[in-house]
Amino acid sequence: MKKHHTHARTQIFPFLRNIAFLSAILLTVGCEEIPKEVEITHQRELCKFDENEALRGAVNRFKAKQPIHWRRLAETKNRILNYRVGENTEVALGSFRGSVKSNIIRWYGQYGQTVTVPNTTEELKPGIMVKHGTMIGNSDYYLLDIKGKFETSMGGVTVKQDDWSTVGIICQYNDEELITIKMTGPTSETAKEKKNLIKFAEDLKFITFPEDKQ
Amino acid sequence: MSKQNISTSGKVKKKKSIPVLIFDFFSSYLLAVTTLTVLGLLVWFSTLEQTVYGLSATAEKYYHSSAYFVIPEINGSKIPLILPGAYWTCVILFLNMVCGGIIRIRKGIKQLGPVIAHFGIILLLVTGFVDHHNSVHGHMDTRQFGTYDYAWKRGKTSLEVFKYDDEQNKTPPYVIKHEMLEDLQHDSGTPKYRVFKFKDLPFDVEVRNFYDNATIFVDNGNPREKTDGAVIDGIFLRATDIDPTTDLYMFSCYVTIRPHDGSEARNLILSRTVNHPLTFSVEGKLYGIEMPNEIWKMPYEVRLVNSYGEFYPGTERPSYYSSDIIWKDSKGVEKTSKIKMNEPLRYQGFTLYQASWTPPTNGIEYSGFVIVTNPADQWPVTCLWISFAGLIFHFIMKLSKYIGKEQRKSKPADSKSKVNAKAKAKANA
Repeated sequence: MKKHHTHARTQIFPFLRNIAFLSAILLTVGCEEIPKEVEITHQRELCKFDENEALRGAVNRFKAKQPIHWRRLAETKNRILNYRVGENTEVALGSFRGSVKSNIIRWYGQYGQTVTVPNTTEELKPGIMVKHGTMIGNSDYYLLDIKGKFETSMGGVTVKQDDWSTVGIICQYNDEELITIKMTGPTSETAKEKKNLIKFAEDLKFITFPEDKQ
Repeated sequence: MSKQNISTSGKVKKKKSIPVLIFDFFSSYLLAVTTLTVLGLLVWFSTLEQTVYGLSATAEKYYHSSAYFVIPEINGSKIPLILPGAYWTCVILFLNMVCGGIIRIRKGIKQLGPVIAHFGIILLLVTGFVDHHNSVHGHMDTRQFGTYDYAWKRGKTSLEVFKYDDEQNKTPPYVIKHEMLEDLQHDSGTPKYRVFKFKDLPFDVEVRNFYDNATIFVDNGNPREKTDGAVIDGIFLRATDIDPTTDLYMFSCYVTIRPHDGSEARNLILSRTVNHPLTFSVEGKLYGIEMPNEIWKMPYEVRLVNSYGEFYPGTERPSYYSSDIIWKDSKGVEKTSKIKMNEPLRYQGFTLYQASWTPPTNGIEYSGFVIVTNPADQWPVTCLWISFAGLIFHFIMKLSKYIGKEQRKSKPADSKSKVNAKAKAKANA
């Protein structure tokens, strides 16, 4: 009996050894580490994904041409297009239902300033906000420039900044939609970027689906 | 030389060799019953678990070839049971079917039916293996009047880096695939990073802290958790559980852009939740970077014309949906098709199924499609017909045998009754 056991063992052990050897090879191959530095050569062919952000569920439905030195950041509900200029200046494009008047009052309020705003945009005077040109869909837009001590509350946190400035653009696109572009930052930076902001607003287009009108 | 062993009863018993023992094991009824029971349990547990963790995560855990063992969970609590993964159970079932159902089975006309049926099941298992290793699945979420020529792969992210041309249109992006990112997990203990270089771009991209599923939070002064990522541009990443209702991984990571000219490096947060590229400039040129699910270019374009659907009362589960689409074939010829539940569009090896439907928003209709390329797409039908033919053959054989047996039983009885009748007639005479 003992002899038979020994015989069986001599057969089982090489078999198990082979299995272990194969497993070790498979594990070694399977665990091959990717190096710390990799050169990427694969380029994907362009497709509709690259043409139209609105097709992929982005909130954005604008096609914008940004100044090269601006950095586009992640969109949020109120900042459909969200940019950072330098380290402290922010540019945000929003689309709201509301009046030009309420936005002007709110923006001046962030600088502790109270302004008397007429009920119609036609009555707006220099010093508050002025009609500056046309943008998206040939709609008139209004420009304001507020300077001073900025104070606002964001998510329960109060932000206070001295020598701050807001350059704002408001466009009453239609009866229901107001498009605002607001640049906020140190006065020295916003003054330099004002021209770029106006150009950005005037170059703005809608991403359109022609059949939507059908 | 055959090995022999003498049993206590004195009979000579052949000692089986190792290969014979292995064959006996793989061809046994016990193994067939065990594997089928395990598969039943796996289906049951995975069905329960997918309501908590979502379909993709559960399918990965139970059915992927990398799942050797599974510890099932019920309502998020682990149960003390270790089961083999479904893929490897199917491999064992396959061996069992081949050894027991084809090789070991007695050969003869009586066994022809079961052999054919077993062959059909073996082919079905082969179909499963081919599907698992060779099929590609993608999703196409369409908006009415939108034209789509791409799908995105569920469970596979990518990192795309590209240059904008002078008109700020995107140029073909460099693609860093999921496999190059997934080992850079944020919770891997030692911080891991990888530097990616590109042939004609003047910067490198360093990726670290990869999350399978994360949410972007605004740093608004609220208390932070220990595992939260760093704050960049006022936001940070926090690892979150996957939402089983959407079953979508929100892959995210931290990257650093390192210009070759030595100018300041730029940190960014990338996430699947952001549906557009982030931009930055190096040496006066504008570049973009984003983290979509892997994009899969289709050989044809699809335009959603109309979508229709209904929900089961009181639920958000569609009871019916269909879509009218216009699509272009490879020659550019426009065609119209109606896609319904279980009635996909098949073209050039691509199958387009409607997988979801969303009620119209602001008058715009939406449909979700799944696109699959699978060389074994139609094989299950053939397999089922083969199994059906085998079982029908076996059933007819059994039935005819039964009828024959019954007829044979009734014949002697008939002849006996005739003899009795004759005897009675003689007696009466």
